Amino acid sequence: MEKLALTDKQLMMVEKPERYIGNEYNMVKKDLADVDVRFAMCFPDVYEIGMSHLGIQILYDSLNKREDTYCERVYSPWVDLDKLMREQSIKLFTLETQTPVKEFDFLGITLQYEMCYTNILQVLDLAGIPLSATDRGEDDPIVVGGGPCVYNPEPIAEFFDFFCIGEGEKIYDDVIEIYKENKATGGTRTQFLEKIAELEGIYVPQFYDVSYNEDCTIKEFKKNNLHAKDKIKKIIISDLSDINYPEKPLVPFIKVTQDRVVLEIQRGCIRGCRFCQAGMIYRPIRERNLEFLKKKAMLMLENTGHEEISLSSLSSSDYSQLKELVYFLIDECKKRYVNISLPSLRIDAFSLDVMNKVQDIKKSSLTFAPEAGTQKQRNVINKGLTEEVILEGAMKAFNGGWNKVKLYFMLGQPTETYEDIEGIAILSDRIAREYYTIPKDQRNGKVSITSSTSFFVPKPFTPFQWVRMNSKEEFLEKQRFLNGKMREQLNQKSIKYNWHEAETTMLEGVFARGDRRVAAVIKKAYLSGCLYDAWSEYFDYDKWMDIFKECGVDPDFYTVRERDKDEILPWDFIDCGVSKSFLWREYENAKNQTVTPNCRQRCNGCGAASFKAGICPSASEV
Amino acid sequence: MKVRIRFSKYGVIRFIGHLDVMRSFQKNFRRAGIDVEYSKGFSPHQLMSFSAPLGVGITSDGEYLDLSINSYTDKYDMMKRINDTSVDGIEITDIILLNDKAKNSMSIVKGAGYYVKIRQEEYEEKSNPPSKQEFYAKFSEFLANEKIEVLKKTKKSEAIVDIRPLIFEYECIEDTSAINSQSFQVDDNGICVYLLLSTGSNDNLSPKLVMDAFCKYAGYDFDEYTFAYHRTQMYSRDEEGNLIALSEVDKNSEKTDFYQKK
Repeated sequence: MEKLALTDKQLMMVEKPERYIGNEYNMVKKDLADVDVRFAMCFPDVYEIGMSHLGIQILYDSLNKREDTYCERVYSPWVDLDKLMREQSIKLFTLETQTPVKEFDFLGITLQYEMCYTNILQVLDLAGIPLSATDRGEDDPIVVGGGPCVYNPEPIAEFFDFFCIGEGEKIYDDVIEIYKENKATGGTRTQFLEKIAELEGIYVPQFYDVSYNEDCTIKEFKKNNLHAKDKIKKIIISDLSDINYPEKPLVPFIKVTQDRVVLEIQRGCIRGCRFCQAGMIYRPIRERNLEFLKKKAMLMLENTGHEEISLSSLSSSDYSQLKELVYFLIDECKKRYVNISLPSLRIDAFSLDVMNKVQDIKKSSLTFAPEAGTQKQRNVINKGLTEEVILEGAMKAFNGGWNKVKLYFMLGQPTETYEDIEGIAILSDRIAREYYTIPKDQRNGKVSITSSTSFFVPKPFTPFQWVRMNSKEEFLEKQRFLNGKMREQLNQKSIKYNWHEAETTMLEGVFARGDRRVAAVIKKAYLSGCLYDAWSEYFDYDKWMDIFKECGVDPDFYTVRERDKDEILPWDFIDCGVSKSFLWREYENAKNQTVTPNCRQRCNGCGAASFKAGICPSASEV
Repeated sequence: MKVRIRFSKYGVIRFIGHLDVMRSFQKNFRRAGIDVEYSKGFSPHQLMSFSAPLGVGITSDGEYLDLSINSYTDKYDMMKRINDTSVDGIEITDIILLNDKAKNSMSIVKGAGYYVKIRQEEYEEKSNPPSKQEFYAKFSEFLANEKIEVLKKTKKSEAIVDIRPLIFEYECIEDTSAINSQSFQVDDNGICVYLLLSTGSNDNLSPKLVMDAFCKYAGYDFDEYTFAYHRTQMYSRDEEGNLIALSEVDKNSEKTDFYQKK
């Protein structure tokens, strides 16, 4: 019988022991005697969240395809086990071999959202690894970070030995080869880091120094090691149909957030919404070919037994062979009693037909993301969705029997006025009015509109990276105003208004555009007991604010301050393909309410063509 | 038609809760390509039912689930296909084709057998743990009582219940090496007792309740983590009232092709 890291008693004392025992179907097993490199892959949140992440499934599969490497998984222990581990000095362990993370060669941490930052420190701490990279010794694992948050890694730079900027599948082979060679020749940790610092896409924070001006802005970002690059260019996979994609994903026992086969149909997005970081950093759009996707879909369904398959991309409607793919899946899935879930679809005749075939109309709802309430504001953010399109789509759906609509908006975008905010309430009401134009005997009961607002957080590598974020008070005032306006609408009884927490947003704003000085705050917050900040029941805003004060760091400097065009931004050393001049141009366009066409309509010269991949015009020249 | 599937649950899978085991089987049957019958309606689900849920942390050699299928090849092929695609620690050990009049196993289960052992790590933590001899002597003395009254808590009420009539059989196992298997091993302390307890929708008795009452009786400072439980078999009653294994009830013996390897 396999040995577990925790005793039966410990496992029976915590909620959901399944989080810590591994042994899921398709878990990779290897003999440790046969491997040279041990890699612990971590998602710094609870198991159910981490297990739902596609990126880790891809890297887990890819790394384990190497005979010399064994990639295992580790997630944040939930608060109950966290407490038990501290009380009983239990070291953090991996699920596969149930061995301490400290014994591994690498600890890879994926950074999907800013609010997981204290959980990174929890993982390091429980593993017994020094929190700061420069305090680590030769026996400590090399700690590497990846994922969208690395496009501004500065607030957590201190805790990582290196970051991989871009798509990790591209580079792990080189990193592992260099590691093995360095180990074989008796090289040190620093020598290893120097060697990989020369690779494209690798950022080793300790090889750079930052100095500041009196006004706290960055004076200079300078390398202190000859092996380091001046600018780190992101790495991408050019041909997504010619790269490993898991055929045997892990099948968890407990219900996880994403309990289904996930088929990634493309990366990148043609849309260029100005608030959206994903739309910029994953450029250029690269589609997977249809045959590749059909084959993978069938294999994954057979190998997992999942009862649902979902398409993953930033905007599925933009996939050029979507119809062929979806109708193929509908046919195949029907035979197998498998459901299809299709998020991020534009509402049109095709998607309504598909939804009609795959979903229970009575239960399902339509989703629109206008993001702003007026056409003026939608032009500012370059969201090419017009009121006409929304109303037309909704009407088609209403005639088809739907009566539930979900709408997503943002508050606090640049140039937003109270008129724009009121527009959210008016648009919500207009959709309801549209429904009631249907004769009573043909309606499917009452209409239900759910409008949700989130607060806008400016992100690096977007045209809004310079803008002033709203203060907490402004956010709350806008929310109160909108709530009042919602109540004034004719169909107010059919409209439900949901909103996000403003306090979490403020912290997210600091982390998103923070610099290296924020690290001290994160460290102190963790040591004072902050953890699982992404979970509202554990997030303690007042405690965070006290710690900012104690550390002498002003959160407002990072949030409610408009940056100059010429200011050195903390993430300027990264080249994500999209140029700073393009972003500035787009910011100007936003202020002028000028819409920029999408990548299929016209190339706008964002700079991503330098990757010679996907949709970009220069791709054909290669 | 319906089949009754007997399976074992052991190893680390003992920590997987009942609902998750159910979900795991749904996926397992899909992977195995079993021609399962689905319910009608907009969200069809596999037609299956379990005899009696097993608590988290408990291993078993005597679990049953009834499954509706549209077609079959033969028992051995079906077993092989499920086992080839099952998680480690779930193993199908028998499949019985049921006759048309068969009731589902949940409604007919009347008894279940359990091995109860002391976990070694817990045993070693006690300052003065009982020897095997002492433990067995006390246990026999306890069960020699005509009445064993315990406070039984249900969702709605609390009541004093005499559990002695619900304990059908017991045994202090001397030669524990004989019962060790892939799914259950007695620890170094060598202590293991067998209990056959009333099970089902009425008069359900959990082995934990018996052991709690015993510890109180014997004055042992054991807690709920001291013992490990292993279910051996589940029983129904025949017309004469004798206990018979669930695998022997409502067997369809006409369709012999199911039991012959093709």
